[in-house]
Amino acid sequence: MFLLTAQNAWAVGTPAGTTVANTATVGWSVGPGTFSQSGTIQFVVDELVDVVVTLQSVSPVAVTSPDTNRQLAFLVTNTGNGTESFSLLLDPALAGDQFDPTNARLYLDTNGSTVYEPGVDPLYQPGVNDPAIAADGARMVFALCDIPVSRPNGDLGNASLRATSQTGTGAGTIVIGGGMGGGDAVIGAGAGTSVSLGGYLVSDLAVSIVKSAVVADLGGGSTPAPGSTISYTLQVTVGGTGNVANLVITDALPPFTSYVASSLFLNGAPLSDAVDADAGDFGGTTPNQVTVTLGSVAGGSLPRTVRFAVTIN
Amino acid sequence: MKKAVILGLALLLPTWTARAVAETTGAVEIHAIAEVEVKVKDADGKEQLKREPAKKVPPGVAVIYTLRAENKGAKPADDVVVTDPIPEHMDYVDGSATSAGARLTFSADGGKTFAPKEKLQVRGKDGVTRDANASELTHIRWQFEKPLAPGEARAVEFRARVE
Repeated sequence: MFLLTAQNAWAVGTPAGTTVANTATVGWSVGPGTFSQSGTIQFVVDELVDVVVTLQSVSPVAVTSPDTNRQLAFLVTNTGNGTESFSLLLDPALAGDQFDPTNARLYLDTNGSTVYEPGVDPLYQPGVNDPAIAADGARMVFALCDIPVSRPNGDLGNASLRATSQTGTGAGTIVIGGGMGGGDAVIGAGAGTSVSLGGYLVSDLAVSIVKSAVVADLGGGSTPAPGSTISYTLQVTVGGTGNVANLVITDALPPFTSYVASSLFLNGAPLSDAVDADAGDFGGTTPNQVTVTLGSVAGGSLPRTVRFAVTIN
Repeated sequence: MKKAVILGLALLLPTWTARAVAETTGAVEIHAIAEVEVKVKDADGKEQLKREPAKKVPPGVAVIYTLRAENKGAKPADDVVVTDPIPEHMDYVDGSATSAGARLTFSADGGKTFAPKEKLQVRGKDGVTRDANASELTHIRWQFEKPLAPGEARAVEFRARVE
């Protein structure tokens, strides 16, 4: 998994409506006398409208398939110099990934937390509770999505959040009367809109064991009958991202069978039946059971093979 | 009757006083204008830069200040010095000041000391002395070598960006 670090967004400083005055002074002398005069010019700081959306969650988020209510946190920062309201759009139907997250919902943070709190953070309703953010201010927004069934390990589903200023869009656009206090507003270099995306990665660590049996009877055939030998092979495969910390394989003998002494093998190498320093035993850890400790197994690594034999009573 | 005479004198007095003051001081006036540069398309459709008065300026935009000193008096004005504190909320655009035959210096300590830009030093937050950068400048000063003759005007300009 890779880490996307949150990037800072710097707001532009001077508040909209501020008067900036410049007073210049000229000094001079005539004979022994010295004199001075001043002149002033001023202008008003216009409102600049702009916004930046940054993903706050570590992306991609590891999920299972299916899964529910998996969260992506986005920070919406007002990088303009006046209070502004923003429309939000969550889009889970992006191209370039393997699946679309489903049941996508957006919640507005109310208390500065970095996680969604049910019952505390309201559901976002466009046109009803578009967040108003002060200059230099920011608001956390939580996207919650479900993950569809049957997605294999490694599948990625992305969702984006776009915030758009309600005053206008288009870099350099001047919105007459759109500023605070009825003045004009200018849309900044970011064009008054910003989008960021995060992803959900199906990375369920799955252990699969495939067991096969070969029967050999006393006559050289393959009839399961008293006295026949059954050789079992267990192929252990770990899928997904990450490591299974301590994988232990156990297999109880089927009823009416007896273990063939010294028949235990791991990846072709013999293991003693007794509980000792090697990886496996029969009947020691648990009566009538083969126990093999595989230790830490990485997802996607080569399968391990356990073999042992029994005779039918 | 007495009253009327006194009134009459009072009316005469200001004009006489003002003229005398002008002759003694050689009144120099300073006028400042603020402009922004806008892109306009000329008749051939080519983009040109045009200056317009700065009325409402958003953050990030540079304002061109032009300071014009004019000698409205009857005597030459010596040692003419124009000093301009860089306004609050504005950052001086490095290299933008014109000198127009004046000695150009800057202050980074609120106007206490002035020096040519390349000689101006500040002490950083870490205590290390280093060259001042454009946003740390507080004042610009023009010292004119030649006196300003009666009726003569000189203009200097510089740019500053709205923070």
